[in-house]
Amino acid sequence: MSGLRLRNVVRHYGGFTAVDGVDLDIAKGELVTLLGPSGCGKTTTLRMVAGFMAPDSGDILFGERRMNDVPPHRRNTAMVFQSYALFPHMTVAENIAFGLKMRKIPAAEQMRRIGEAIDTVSLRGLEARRPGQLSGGQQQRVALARAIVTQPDILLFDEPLSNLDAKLREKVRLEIRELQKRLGVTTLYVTHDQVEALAISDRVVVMNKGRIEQVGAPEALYRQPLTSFVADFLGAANIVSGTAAGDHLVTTPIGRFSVGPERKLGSGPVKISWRPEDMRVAAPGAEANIVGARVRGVVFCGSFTELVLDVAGQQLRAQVDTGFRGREGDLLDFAVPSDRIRVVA
Amino acid sequence: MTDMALAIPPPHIRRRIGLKGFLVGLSVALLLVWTAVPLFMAVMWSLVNPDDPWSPPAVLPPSFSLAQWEYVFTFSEIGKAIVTSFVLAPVVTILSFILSLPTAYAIGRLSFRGKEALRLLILLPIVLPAMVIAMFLSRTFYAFGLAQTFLGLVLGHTLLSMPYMLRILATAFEAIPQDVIDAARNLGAGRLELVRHILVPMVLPGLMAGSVFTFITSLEEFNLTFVIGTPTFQTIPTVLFDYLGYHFVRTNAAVVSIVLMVPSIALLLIAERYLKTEYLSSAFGKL
Repeated sequence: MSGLRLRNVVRHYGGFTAVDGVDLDIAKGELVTLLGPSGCGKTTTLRMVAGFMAPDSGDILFGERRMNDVPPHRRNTAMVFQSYALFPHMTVAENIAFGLKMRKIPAAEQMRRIGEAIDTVSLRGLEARRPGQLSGGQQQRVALARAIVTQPDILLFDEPLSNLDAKLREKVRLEIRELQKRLGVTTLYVTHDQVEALAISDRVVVMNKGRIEQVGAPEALYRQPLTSFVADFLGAANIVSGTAAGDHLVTTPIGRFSVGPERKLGSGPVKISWRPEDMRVAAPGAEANIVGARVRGVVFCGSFTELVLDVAGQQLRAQVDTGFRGREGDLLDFAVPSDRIRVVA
Repeated sequence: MTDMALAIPPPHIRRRIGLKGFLVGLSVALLLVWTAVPLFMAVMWSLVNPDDPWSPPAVLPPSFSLAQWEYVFTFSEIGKAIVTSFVLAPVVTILSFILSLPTAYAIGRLSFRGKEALRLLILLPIVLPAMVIAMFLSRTFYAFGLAQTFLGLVLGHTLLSMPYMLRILATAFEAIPQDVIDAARNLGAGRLELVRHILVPMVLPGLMAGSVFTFITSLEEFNLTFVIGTPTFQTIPTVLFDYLGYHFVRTNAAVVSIVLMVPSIALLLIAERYLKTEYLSSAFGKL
């Protein structure tokens, strides 16, 4: 088992730059997620790690070893595909055995490890079935078993949950994380689902247009986004353009905001961002960071109520508790705590 | 909702069921007229007793005998023709497979300019009238001394039947998801292992189906065989033609028809089985 390092990796498709100088260090046993919209380069990056395509420039290292010219079948990675990519003409047991057979593992050892893998993913009794006779969830488990049974140096996931229904997705997500921790295998995980990324990862890499936008632990990334793209892509965000007016003050078309003390602002245009759940109906008499907003929509979401607000033509979102009794058309004051406002690029 | 309302479907659903039933019924009826009736009539005619003729308005022959079968097998070249046909067809099938393999792989798995045009071009021998091909190809065959030779028949049949092999094999290659190939490589399969454990087993059903179509096409080929093969070589269809042309004898023709039809139908059922293989069935929609 080894860590994974990407050094200024670049990959073009014709005139399009899919991956544009990605630098990333993944520690041994760490689970790192590449998160971003489609076309951001996350899958291309993953496929380069697997060896299905070569970088145009830059290096891919497993531990200290440069892997650029190593063909995929010699890399000892194991990938779980979005489509599962099971071998349709083989049984479950044969599918799981495939990687061991290719590695010429002795038959007895193969049997033992296949049995273990089957138990790990709870597929006992289905060994003789073919993929076509399994449900989506079961196929997913076979794909997972087939990957881990080879004891890979690096485990790769390409949107492994996107073909499962919502309930199962959450369950399998937990199982994958638990299994990955237990095996301690270095893992690169690709998804476009921010909830999944936050829930499963040690660190999340947000990618946009072939570049890394920000890297961080899930909570840090959520609480301290550096760019409006990250703020907006991870969860929901209210993003307002304004002008710095002093060290901790930003003037915007919808009012003046005092922002957290951790960063000194110069002057000139800035953007500020805060989460819908950080907006509160203002207590009477409050003065700081107050936004007078017209309620345009009230949406009951179970554990909270989502408000669509209009402030001087700018649309904002707020999440308030379900005790909220306002109605559409109401004009209300909302407060945004200054320590929850982030200045973003 | 009351039980009554549940029991009687609303009018638009009733109409759809009615239409569907009608269409299914019509299809079955057409198929019967199309295939079962000719086959049935062929069997009846082949069993007519020459001493007890079958004539209208009798629906069935008054008595049955194997006299027609004896006659045809004694006095025609059908025996030799069966041997020729059933030697020719496997040779043509194998040659078609060998010649198709690289092209089918290229069309199925690689991307290149003019691929769609090539895909259509392949079908040309099927689309052109066989007689037209036969007439003009025969000149070439005579020029190269291939006429009246077994090799000439093999080459001619291969030309006419290979499109089926090529098309089906290409589709079989195309039906393999790239992910499955990537997964195999990812799990440690080198080039040879990929071919052996993934490509070959996964195109095998397509290969079987393509072989059956190629085999049947060769078996039933008449035009080219007639022009470049006879009289040196007789195949089952050319023997049949003898009975349909100058010496028209329906009872004898019926015997030869059955000899021709039964293996074809049996092979078609086999092909149907292979085409049903689950991971191919989706891909064969676009055949």
